[in-house]
Parts: sequence; C-alpha cells; structure tokens
Amino acid sequence: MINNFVDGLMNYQFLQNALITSLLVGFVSGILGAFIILRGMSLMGDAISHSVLPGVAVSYMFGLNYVFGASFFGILTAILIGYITEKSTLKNDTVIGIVFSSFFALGIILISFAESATNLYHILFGNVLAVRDSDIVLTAIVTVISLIFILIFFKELKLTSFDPVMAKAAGLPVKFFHYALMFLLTLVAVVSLQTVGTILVISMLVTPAATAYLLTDNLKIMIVLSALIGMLSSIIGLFFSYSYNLASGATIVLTAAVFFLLAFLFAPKKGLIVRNRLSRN
Amino acid sequence: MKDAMIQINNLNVYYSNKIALQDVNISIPSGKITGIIGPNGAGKSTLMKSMLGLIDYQGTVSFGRNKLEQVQKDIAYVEQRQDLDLTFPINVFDTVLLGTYPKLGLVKRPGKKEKQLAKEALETVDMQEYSDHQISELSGGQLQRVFIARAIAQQPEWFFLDEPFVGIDVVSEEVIIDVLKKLRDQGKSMVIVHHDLSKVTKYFDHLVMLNEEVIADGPVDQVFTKQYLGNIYGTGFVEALTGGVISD
Repeated sequence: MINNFVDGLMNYQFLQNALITSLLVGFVSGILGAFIILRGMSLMGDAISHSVLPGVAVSYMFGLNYVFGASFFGILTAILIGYITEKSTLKNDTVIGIVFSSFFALGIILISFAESATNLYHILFGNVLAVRDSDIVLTAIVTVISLIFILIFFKELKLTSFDPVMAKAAGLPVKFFHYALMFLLTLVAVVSLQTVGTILVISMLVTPAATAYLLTDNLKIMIVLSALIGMLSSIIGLFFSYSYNLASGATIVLTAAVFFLLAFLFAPKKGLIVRNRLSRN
Repeated sequence: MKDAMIQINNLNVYYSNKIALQDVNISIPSGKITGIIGPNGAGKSTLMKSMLGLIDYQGTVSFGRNKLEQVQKDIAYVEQRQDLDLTFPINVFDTVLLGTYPKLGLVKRPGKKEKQLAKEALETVDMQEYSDHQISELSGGQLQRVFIARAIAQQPEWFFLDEPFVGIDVVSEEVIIDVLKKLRDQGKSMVIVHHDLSKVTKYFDHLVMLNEEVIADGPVDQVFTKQYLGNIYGTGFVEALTGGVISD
C-alpha cells in the first residue's frame, strides 16, 4: 500500500501537487495556529475560515481569483465581529456565532448561483487531488508571507499574545498585530480550501498547535513542533485519502486528531497520565 | 521635577451609561509613591486604566508637558495577577525580558544588553534561582516579584501597579516594597492601587482617596485622617480597618 502511494507520487503529477500543497498548508497553519490558540482566538479562526465562502462565490461570479473575494470577506468578518462586540454588551463568542453563520449561509446561497467551475462539496470538504499549479504557487506565497511576518515580529507577537494590556500601556500597536494575524488567518483559510475545505480549516489551525502546546513549555519549540505535526498529519492523511479513496480533508484532520489524542494522554509534563499520577501523590 | 507630574482634569468615566468616576481633578507628583485607595467598586483600577489610555474617558490626562503617547515607553504597567494567562508557555527569565521590548523598538531582537537588564532585574527581586522555571510553577508572591522585575527591566520613569500586594506572602511583600522605595529614592515615580488600609502610612508618600469621586488627595500625613476615611468607609469602621495607626 505504501509502495502504491510512493509509485503514485513518482508517476502522477496530481499527487505530487497534492503532497506539496498539503505540506505547505500543514506548515503554515501550524505556525500561525500556535499564536491563534495562545491568544484564545480559535473560535475567531473558525469564524473567518467559514466566512470566506461568500467571497469565493463572488470571485467566481466575476471571474476573479478567489483569493481576492475570500480575503475581503475574511477581513470584513474580523472587523465586523470586533465592531459589534465593542458596540454592544454581547459576549464575543455570541457575536462570532451570529456573524460567521450569517456569512456562511450567504455563501451557500451565492455558491448555488455561481456554480460552474467548482462545486460546493469540494469547497466545504477539500479536493486536494485536483490542485492546480497556480494553487501551489498561491499556497507557497501565503506560506512565505506568514513565515516572514512571524520571523520579523516574533518578539511583538509573543508580548501581545501573552500580555496585551501591558503591551498597550507601553505603546505597542496591539491592534495592528491583531488585525495582521486576522489577515494572515484569512489567507491561510483561503489556500486551505483545496486541501481540507472550509469546514475543516479550523482543525489544521488549532489541532497541531494544541498538540505542540501539550508537548513543550517553550514558545519557539511549540511553533516548530506545531508546523512539524501539521506537515506529518498532511502526509499521513493524504496517504489514507489516496489509498482508500477518502476525502482528503477528513483523513488529514483525523490524523491530526490522533496526534492530539496521543499527546493528551502521554505528553511528558502536561499529559493526562502524568497529571493523574502527580495529583494522586 | 514639578513639571513631570501627572495632571488629571475633569475626568469622567462611564461603564455602559453608569458613572464609574466623576469629575476627577488631581495631580500626582513624580518621584513619589502614590497610593490610590478606596473601597471595592470605588473606581481605583478604572482611574489607573484611564490614566494609561486603556479605557475610554472624558477629560484630559497629561504627563508633565506631554501627552500619554509621548511617554508610553517610560510607563511600566503591572495589571492584577488574575488577569494574566499563566498557562502561556514562557519561563521566568523570558517574562522579565519582555519588559525590555517596548524600548527596543519594532523588529529588533533582545541582545546582550537586554538580557543583562533582565538578569539584574531578577536579582533585584531575589528571583534569579527561578530563571528557568515556568511562570505556572510560581506562587502568587513569586509571580508578583517576577512582574515587578519585568517592570524594572523596562527602565521606566513611571511604575503603575494594580493591587500588587493582594494574595502574596509577607516576604514577597517586603521585598517588593523595599525595591519600590529604592527606585523612588533614585527618582522614579510609582502609582499603586491598594485597598489594605493598615499599611498606608508605611508604604505611601502621597494618596488619592477615591469613592467614585475624589474624597481627598495630597501628602499621606495630611489626608489619611479619620475624617476623610470616615467619609469613605463610615466612621465606625475606620479603627478596625486601619489597625489604629492613624492621625486625627
């Protein structure tokens, strides 16, 4: 079976494309995801990844690359959620629930008007075996932008994630980093459409990062581990998808979930087993 | 140094249409330890947060001739401990190192000089042995010392501390007040939100007594009196709250 997968990789360009894209997506969502979970923005990530749907539809209607429409709606979602939370007394998670489900619903209706080159099922659940060269380029660009941003602003991201109030008091542009991360999150959500689909993007952002968090106490190591686990989940998931003809999004996400479960149980300091033993003593 | 003091004029703060602070007009001297005291819900933290531009307010706050934006890097703020995420993957040394970031400017990485500052700051609060510990492993008092060290590593002119002595051990409290007094003697200024009246005369040079509005402000020996305290807490409680150390 593994031979079959390796043979496929040697012979079929579509499988090579699929592998490269899912590795890139695993990597970039891993490094961004670390900051997403530390900032308590998992739900926000989920919201944005769902809200890009109407953007994809509108882009198809006008014959634009779907990046433009999707980015627009992703950012709009982030701003709208921030605005309504600020101007009402509602809690943030309530506002997120309202905004993203509305955009998602709008997206479903728009897609059914726009249905032509793509179909809703593939947008929702991913179709990594149909990745085109232009998709790879796009994914690579988003990966490089995200990586550079995190390398340059690592210090600021660390401080604003850990103690945004102190950072604000000392004059750091906390809002800028918030929206910059939201923007990158949107881009990642867009390029992940092909690999895991809109509905499951959140898993790639959150699960490998959470797994890495359980395995280490150091932010830098956490980011590296998160990227590695993301990439590993992508390869293994792709293997099962190809071998058993299953939806790639589902197999990749389940692989990531298995890694998380292992860490949750067996992590050296934060795992369930060690913690139970400690609390018994 | 008089021109460096904080001047607050006609400050009002509303929380969803309910007034939290009313018509505050005070000045806070530089080079002194100023306590903001008052009962729960008096608006102590609110006053501090508005001075730091962390919440919306009406009125003006100026730092000497400057607006807040011009002096922010020289302000170290230690918020209430319960507001911090102690599960964050960061150790004691790196936490203190964060204090050097504001003056470092964007993009630049902390180098030898910053690491030295962090190390010295940790030594100042006697926490150097805990350098490699995760912050989640510390007691309340140790944690507070680490955050004071972070503030020191920032090399600010102003320290703003919100309830730094709540829930900490006696040793840590002594270490911290000792360090703060030394810094004061070097010309630094402190503003501290505090609610335990028994140590007011020992800790503070200057007081702002608050209960949704300013009841009194000025040097401790002039305003920490039965009359003003009675205005805030009710005359019957003053003796019990202050442990008897009080002037008439």
